[in-house]
Amino acid sequence: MIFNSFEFLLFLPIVFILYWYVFKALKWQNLFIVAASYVFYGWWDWRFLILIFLTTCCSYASGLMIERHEGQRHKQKAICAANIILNLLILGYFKYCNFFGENFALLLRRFGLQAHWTTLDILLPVGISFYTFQALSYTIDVYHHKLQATRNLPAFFAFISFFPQLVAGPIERATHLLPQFLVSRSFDYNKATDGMCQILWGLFKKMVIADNCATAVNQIFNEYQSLNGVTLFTGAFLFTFQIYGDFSGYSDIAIGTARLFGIQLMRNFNVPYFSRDIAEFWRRWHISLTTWFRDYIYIPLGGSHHGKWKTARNTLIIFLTSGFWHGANWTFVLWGAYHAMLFFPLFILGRNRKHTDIVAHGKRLPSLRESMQMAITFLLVLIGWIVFRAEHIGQACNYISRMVTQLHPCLPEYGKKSILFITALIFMEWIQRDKEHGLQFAPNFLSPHSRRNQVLRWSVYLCVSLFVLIFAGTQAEFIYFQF
Amino acid sequence: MNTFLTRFLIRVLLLGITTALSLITLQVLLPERQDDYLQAYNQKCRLLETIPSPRIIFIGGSNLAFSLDSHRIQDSLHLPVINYGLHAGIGLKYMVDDIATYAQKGDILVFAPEYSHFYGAMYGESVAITGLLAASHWKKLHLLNIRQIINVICGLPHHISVKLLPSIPNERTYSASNFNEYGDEAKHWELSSMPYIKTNSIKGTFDSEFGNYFVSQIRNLQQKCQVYLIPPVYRESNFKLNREKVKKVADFLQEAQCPYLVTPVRHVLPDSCAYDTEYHMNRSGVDIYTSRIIEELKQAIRIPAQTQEPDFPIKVLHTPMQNSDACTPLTGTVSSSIQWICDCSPENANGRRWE
Repeated sequence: MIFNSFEFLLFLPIVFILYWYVFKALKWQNLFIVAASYVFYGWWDWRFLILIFLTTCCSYASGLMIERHEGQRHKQKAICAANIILNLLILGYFKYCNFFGENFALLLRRFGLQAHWTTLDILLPVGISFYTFQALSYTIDVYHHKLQATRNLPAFFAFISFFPQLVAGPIERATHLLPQFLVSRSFDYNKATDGMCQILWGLFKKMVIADNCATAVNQIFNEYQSLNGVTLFTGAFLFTFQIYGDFSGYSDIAIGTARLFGIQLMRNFNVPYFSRDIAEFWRRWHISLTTWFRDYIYIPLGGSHHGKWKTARNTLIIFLTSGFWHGANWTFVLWGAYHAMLFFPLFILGRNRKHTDIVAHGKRLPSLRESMQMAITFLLVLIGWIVFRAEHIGQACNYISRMVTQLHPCLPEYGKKSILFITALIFMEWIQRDKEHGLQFAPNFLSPHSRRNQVLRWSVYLCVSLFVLIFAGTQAEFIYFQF
Repeated sequence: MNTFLTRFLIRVLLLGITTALSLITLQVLLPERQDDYLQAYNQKCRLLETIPSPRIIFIGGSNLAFSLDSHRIQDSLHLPVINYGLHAGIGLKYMVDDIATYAQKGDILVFAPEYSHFYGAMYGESVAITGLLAASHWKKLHLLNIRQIINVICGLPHHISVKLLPSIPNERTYSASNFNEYGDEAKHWELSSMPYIKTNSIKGTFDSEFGNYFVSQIRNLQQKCQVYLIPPVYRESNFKLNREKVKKVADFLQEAQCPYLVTPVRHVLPDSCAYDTEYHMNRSGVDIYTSRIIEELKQAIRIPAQTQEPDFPIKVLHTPMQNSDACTPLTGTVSSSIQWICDCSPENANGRRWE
């Protein structure tokens, strides 16, 4: 079931009403969330449920076993490692088996050995990378004593399978999400209203921005060999916003939906295209994954405490892993390496934490210098997205080379409407850049006592709702489901 | 808590209702675009209302609109021709129900539905059917069932979006003004084919329930008209990809005693004949398809007494088409890979004649 579907339009209100009106006790609420989440996930393919059930049971059991062996660190380490290996094996089999097999066979053939890999027909379970990482975070946190192992089975199942963020994140930490399932929740009108606004904003980003861009992007990437540089640049530009609208739109809908159920999820995007350098971009893009890699890979490897070379090595590892996490294709690895390459100069010069605040804070417009910085960062990110979108590295190279060599001044042939919508998005995001989402108004603006503000607020909601309905594009699936 | 919860639900509901009302208001206030492709439907309806019987009416989706030269057929068969084909997205159910209101005694109805109609598209796509009904000023709402009405409701927002933000037209833009007096989309005859045409697979599962409905409607029409069913024109690559699905449609119709007049492979044309989709042919493709239809109808139809009796060159069915400049004749190109349905013998063609 996907968020922008008719099924979800029925599913959400039913679950919401039953959750608050019928299942009022905490235990029942958690059990109901698990049941609803399994229906939501099983809607794709009921066989996926076996895997998530297995992952949940293993992680739950490993948490309890780690706690039972308190004081025996080596045993705890073995249990934790076993759970990590098991989860990664499942992930590896379903996501990377064919990739490794094909590349290994290719390698052997390079050495003159006869090798042929028959591609296995493996169905990739939707969102497996997301819930696997979430489950791993629990075991590792229990091992590091950041969290007590829970005995509350419904709460743990709800933590792993919570439907709003199950298939495309945000990848939650056990320390943040699990405790929320252990305490009783009550309906908060303001949070729910804000959640609905965030859902609306997410739908706008997904259905208006991403889905409209998708049509033009698919056309341009399919026919790139016969198109001019301006059109290819437009294709890359549109994909830059397609992937942002698609993924951040999903995150907004997920966070908003969770708020309807009294659950607060972590922020996943923070206006990344207003970043002034690549380091800032990575602090604002897919925050839950970036911080996951920081907490569970970068810091355990030594972080930045063992000299510049080791720090550079650790940085390269997380960028490559991040790329590879996105999919079994060398394009993703190259994309990760490309971003690492952009990050290193900042790191060597010690400027990787220069921009930690929001751009042009307290001002209406950015300075010329800030504008230039944002434009350059955006351009660098855009080139990275071409590699990310391409089917193979050769296509990415051809696309970029054609984009540069065939650059003649002309108007873009595709995506004119999308550019109009993107302009509206940039405008809204710019004026709301210090807020959590585009439809979050200032507290005084939210005041129910001012009738004028109320009318204005509802007019904005109505306009965005109409915009979403009228200008929705045709593509339905979320890109990040495949990751 | 319950008070807040109820208040929240009421407000969400109010927003939903207001949005729906705003949509209806926009639909009413914004004028329909006169150059919209689906406006051609009104022109076709006028032809159906004004041209007296006996006449040949072609019914189907855009495969007919884009791939037929009705003038040639009219000259060959000496009967007025109306090309009702417009858009597969309006759904085969609507087409059958609509044409039943126009059919007169003595008419010759030739159905060429797209294969996708038997795989879930029978009730139409929301965007097309909404556009069609809006173009015809909602006069034909009574023809719709509940599923079609849902489709119309779902298509309303997109229809409004087209009125609010119309595309900038170019020479390839589909438009009502591109149709000739027979109902053929004739403007594209002068244009070159698109360089890249996607080879789509037919999605969905075969809907035998709708198939039965379609057959029963055909039987009703047979009470007063001659009715023939022909396969749509189809691009070779798509045919190869969707062979099993095409076969299933042909088999179903055969079993229902309502077979195609000829085997589907007769209407499969080389990729070079396609204009911009698997069902839309360029000028060369139009010529081949039209020639084949003329031959097939000459064999099949009972010509009314007042028109000149044509000779039936049955052997023509086996000879390559003469007027294909850019296209390679199909004979010998795909036949080896599609043996299952490649029997185009005159005997078979006659055997498939049904009325």
